Amino acid sequence: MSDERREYVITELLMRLLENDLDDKAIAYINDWLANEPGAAVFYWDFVKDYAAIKMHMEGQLSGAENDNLVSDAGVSDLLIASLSEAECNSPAVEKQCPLISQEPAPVVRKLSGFDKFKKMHRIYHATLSVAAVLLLMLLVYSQVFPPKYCYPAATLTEQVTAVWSDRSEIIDTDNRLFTNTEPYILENGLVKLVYEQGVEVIIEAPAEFTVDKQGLTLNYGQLYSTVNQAGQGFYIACPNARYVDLGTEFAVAVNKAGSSELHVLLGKVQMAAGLGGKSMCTRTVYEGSAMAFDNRNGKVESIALRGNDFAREIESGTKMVWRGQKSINLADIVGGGNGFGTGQIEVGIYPQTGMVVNQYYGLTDRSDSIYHLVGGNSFVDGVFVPDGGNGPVIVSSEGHENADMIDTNGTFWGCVQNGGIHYHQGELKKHSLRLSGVSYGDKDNAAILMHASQGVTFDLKKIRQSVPGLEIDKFTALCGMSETVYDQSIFISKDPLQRDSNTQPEGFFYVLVDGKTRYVSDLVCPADEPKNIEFGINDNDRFLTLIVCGSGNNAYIWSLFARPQLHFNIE
Amino acid sequence: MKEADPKNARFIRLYTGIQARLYSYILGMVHNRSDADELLQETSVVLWDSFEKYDSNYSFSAWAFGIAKNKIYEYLRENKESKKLFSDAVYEQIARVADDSGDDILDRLETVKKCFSKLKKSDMTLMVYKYYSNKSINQISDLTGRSGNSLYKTFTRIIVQLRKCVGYQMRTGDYNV
Repeated sequence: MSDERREYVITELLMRLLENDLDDKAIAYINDWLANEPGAAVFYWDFVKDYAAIKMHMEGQLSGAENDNLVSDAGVSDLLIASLSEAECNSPAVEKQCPLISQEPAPVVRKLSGFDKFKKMHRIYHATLSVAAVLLLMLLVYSQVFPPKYCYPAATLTEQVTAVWSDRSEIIDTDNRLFTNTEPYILENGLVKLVYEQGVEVIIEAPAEFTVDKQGLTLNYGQLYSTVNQAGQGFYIACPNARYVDLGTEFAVAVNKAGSSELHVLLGKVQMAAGLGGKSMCTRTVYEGSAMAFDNRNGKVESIALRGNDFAREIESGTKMVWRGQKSINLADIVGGGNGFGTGQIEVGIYPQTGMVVNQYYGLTDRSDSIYHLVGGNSFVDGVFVPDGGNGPVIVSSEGHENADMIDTNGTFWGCVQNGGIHYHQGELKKHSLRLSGVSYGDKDNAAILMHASQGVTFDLKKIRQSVPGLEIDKFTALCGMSETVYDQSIFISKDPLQRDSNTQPEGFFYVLVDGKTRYVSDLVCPADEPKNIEFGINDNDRFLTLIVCGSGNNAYIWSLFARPQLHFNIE
Repeated sequence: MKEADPKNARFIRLYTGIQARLYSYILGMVHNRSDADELLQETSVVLWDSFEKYDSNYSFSAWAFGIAKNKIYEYLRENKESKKLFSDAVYEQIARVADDSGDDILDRLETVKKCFSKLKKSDMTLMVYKYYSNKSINQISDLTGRSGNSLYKTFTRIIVQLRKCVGYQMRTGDYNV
């Protein structure tokens, strides 16, 4: 033991002595040390004088509200906890302590006499007999010290999205239990949601290898998001050389295959303890909105940027919905076959005359059959239709909601209800991106639903809500307008009102309905108009949301967009 | 304003001058923080009660230490069975070292003050908490949920750091350890 290390060990022993926190054996050790080691009594007396000086200095100079707050009986202050965490990170490396008792004397080797040889043979005979007894005894001791590990159910798999388990792992299906003390579960693809008995929810994302315990989970690699309720406080995630203990919160952990891990705290706070084997563990409290990284190669712990939206916080098996903390659902993405969070495909849509999912823009005009077509291939879209108010109220939902506010159209439409904003090459028209006020729409950043008049699409809010349990839809927002590119592309359309041909001028109305009732209707819109903002609240009981564009006149060149159509969650 | 009682004032002046040394002596002999606090209190009461018997021709310090030693021996005798104590030989050795040790507690106090200001803010906070609240390590452990072992490691590190600074300064006058 180095002198410095020895000083630490002795100092800690003396601290414990003054705190009356030593057992008889340790007291005896100090007694022997003081009695026998030269300089020990002087060291002890100096230590006591310094300790007394420190104590009296502290007592003499302490006063004031700050200290009163620090030691308030009302509870432990955050300042104290933060100081403890920082101080613990500075603590010296923990070495295996030297035994306090002296070592056994070394065995003496001597030449065997004849009698000794007899005694040796005798001992071998006895030793042989004893071996079995010793083995039996060892077995008994082993069974007491290392009792057999039983497997207990700890969590249930409740949801999964495209989950694929490794051949080397047990395959877990929905509603199956996961057990403690098993070989690691290896998830090669997809996501699974585990719910613990105390209510803790954990979503694990592949590739991941993990085992479960009653109060926690060991993540060898992979990433997860944990939502811990009050009953689950103290729930832990163990990673190579790091452990993250919940203090009432939501947090995410990512571990790479080298064992380095990241902790991202989204809500509340988490206790982090990390350190390489043989060195001291660095513990600290990580608070909401912050993240820490532990490097398993060198033991370094550092603050990193929060990546809250990189972790799946909710999944749903039926709709394959994966929510990563987004504050809104993109309805254009849903039209493209996605879950509203970016999994949909651009230029995929729904044909309003059939309700079929199509993956190309049909540059054809067709006539309304006045039928509401259910959509089977998209969980969140209830149906589509071609509106024509001239035929009376229009059915706008699978439950028969009707709306009588729509204008009399000529009953035709072009293309389909599409996730995108591309107009395809057609005659004199070149393939191009549609624009509203100089902004091109139809990509991931500027999502839009393209509907060449006259068309309508109805979303099922109930199914959307079911896919994100616990989240409330607060409001709907979108921009609506007709693409100004029509003036660049067509020689028949003039931006100048004086030169407009009323027969060819694209004009129409945008409608947004909730359960058949009109919540928004635009003025008569033409491509020269600025896009209109739409925003209104959605109630918990609202079931269907319908977007419609109705063309007036001959229904040509009405390249209509619902841009950035979003349902917003009520989350702070 | 009422005039200060001359006896009071004199006693306080004399007692304040030896209090730190008296405390460190008691602490070193009984090696138990809370018992040392109690014994110092008891000793000060005896000193005050018998202050009128004190002959000012003699050293107040010697008189006070005589009374304190009696209290200590009484404590050791009474607690021989119930407390975890050292052997008589060790107490004799400690007492010898204490008698030979210089009276430098006030210098240490002054030095601690300077060295304390060099601690990290978090370490200062912990020390303030422990001594201002007069809590044991185990009480702090219960309150904060930290393990006692971890807290001992932390406070040991701070004490070692302070002692290094104090020792170096007392030898060299330099605070930059």
